[in-house]
Amino acid sequence: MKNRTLYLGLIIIAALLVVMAAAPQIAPHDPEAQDLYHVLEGPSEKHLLGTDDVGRDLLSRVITGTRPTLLIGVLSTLFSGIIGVGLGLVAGYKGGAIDMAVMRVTDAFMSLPVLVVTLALVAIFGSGMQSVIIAITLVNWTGFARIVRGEVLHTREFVYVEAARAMGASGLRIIFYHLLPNVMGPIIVTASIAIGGNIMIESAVSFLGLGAQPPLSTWGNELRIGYAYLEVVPLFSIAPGLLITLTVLAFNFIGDGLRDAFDPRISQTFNKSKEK
Amino acid sequence: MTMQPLLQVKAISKEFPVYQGQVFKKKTYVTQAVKSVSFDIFKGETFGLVGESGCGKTTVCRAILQLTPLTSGAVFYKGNCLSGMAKKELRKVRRHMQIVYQDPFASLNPRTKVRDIIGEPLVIHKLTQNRSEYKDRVEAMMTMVSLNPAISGRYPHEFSGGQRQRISIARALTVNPDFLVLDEPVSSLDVSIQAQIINLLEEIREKFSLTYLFIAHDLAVVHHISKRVAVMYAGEIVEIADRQNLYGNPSHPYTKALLAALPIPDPQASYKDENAMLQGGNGVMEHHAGCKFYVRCPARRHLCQVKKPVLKKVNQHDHMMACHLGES
Repeated sequence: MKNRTLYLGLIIIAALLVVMAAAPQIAPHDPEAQDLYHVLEGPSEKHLLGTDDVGRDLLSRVITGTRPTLLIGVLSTLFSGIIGVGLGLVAGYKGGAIDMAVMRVTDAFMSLPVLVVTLALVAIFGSGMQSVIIAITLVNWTGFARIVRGEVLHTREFVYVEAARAMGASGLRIIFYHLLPNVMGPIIVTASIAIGGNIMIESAVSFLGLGAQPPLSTWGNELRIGYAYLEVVPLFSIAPGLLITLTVLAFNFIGDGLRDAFDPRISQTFNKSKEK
Repeated sequence: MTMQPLLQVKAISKEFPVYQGQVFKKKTYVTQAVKSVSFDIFKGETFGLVGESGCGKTTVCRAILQLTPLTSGAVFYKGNCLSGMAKKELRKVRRHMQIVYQDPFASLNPRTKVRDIIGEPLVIHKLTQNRSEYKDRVEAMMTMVSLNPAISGRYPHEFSGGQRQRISIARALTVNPDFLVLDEPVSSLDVSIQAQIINLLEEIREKFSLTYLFIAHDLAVVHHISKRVAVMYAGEIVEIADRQNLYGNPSHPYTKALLAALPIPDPQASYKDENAMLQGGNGVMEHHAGCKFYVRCPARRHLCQVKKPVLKKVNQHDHMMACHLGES
């Protein structure tokens, strides 16, 4: 049962990746071609999802929006995960002054508002995806750091960690061989939730004109603009909204599945029940 | 002729500070977990350390293995002081001193396959050249502790307590240590399994001429395996002697009480058993100048409350005791 949801998640993500790679071929129209005689139209044979406020084909825009959306969601989560997990492991394992220092830095970063950081980065690097990814990473790693530190504080008290020390294991070995695998569960859950959240942050940033620049489309962007026309063309924001939901759901399925796969106690119960 | 002991424990003490207050933490007092404990362990012998829960047995073994910093005192292994040793040096020495823990459910990493648990010391100390040598070594260890090498791909949760303890023992022995600390290795096991593990440990000790520090709270088990025995009470050693002397001729009132508390396998006899049970707290938190055992001691007198007894010989054997009993 558990593994079935993992596969479902993987299938959805795989489909999205195919769409992402083949976007120019799949999109029925040029996503940036305006047609001011046909703005805000409902679904028709020519435009399966209708058109937006400047007459661009919505289906094509949603399809081409897959790439920047997924890139921002996944990359910002990946980078913030690497930074946060690394610092959380060190803080939790070392404790004392190092822990104190890392956690105060974390607190400082937590107080940064994403939008202000993005503004600053846009001023430095110019607007675009890289600024958004860096901004989200700078703010989001704190969540990973705090969760991992908390889990490590709990895990390092287990006798097997002391046993490793008694055997002569180095600090690095204990951190990566004994602690990391045992705190993997919460990390995966946090990451799968963060991907969805980051897609939403991107939409907020785009709305202010700081993220992906028009005419480039992202799902968050479409959702925000379409919101204004919800009563005229509901699909304008519902279509990208459903896609965001589906993506977040798929990552959650994968997260759940991976967490169980990483835990031999659960994955083996599953295998045994399958044998029966 | 005096033989050089394999391990010397010299007056080790360990204090844990107790803090009070939510915001402004203030050190109110210290708990003396271990107080000036000294003993020597000679090559090839099994040294038993007994005492009730919380008397500092485990702290002593953690201190010996340098897993907790000492407040004072020092530990010498083959004449080298471990206490101030550089981390790198210490890691090398750790290869020769291994430990088997009490709780076989907590001492094995749940995410690691059995073969990697047993082989981990080999990886840490880089003792095998290639994968097949590693595999052979792990399988040899498994066979030695009567585990089927075919199940080396399983995870710890698939094993029973006794099997897990065998895994622990195999892990400790993969790197050919000289000295093994056994921290209550059988107290969480069934009685029938206890005997198997004890016999296995004895067998292994003879085969590899190992030296054991065997910690337990079960006097019967210690009697079976140990050559010399030390009795701890509230962080201090109160009596230390050969097995025959300690069990045949217990001198300290606490040792007597412990031996009297051994269960008698006959309900009728045990019903009539009139040996006084120990009552009250163990006195660790008591702060008076005298003997820690004062509050529970059946033979106490005024001297015991004001003057601390020191370990000294009670007869021609190396039988030592810390008690005012027999003094004028």
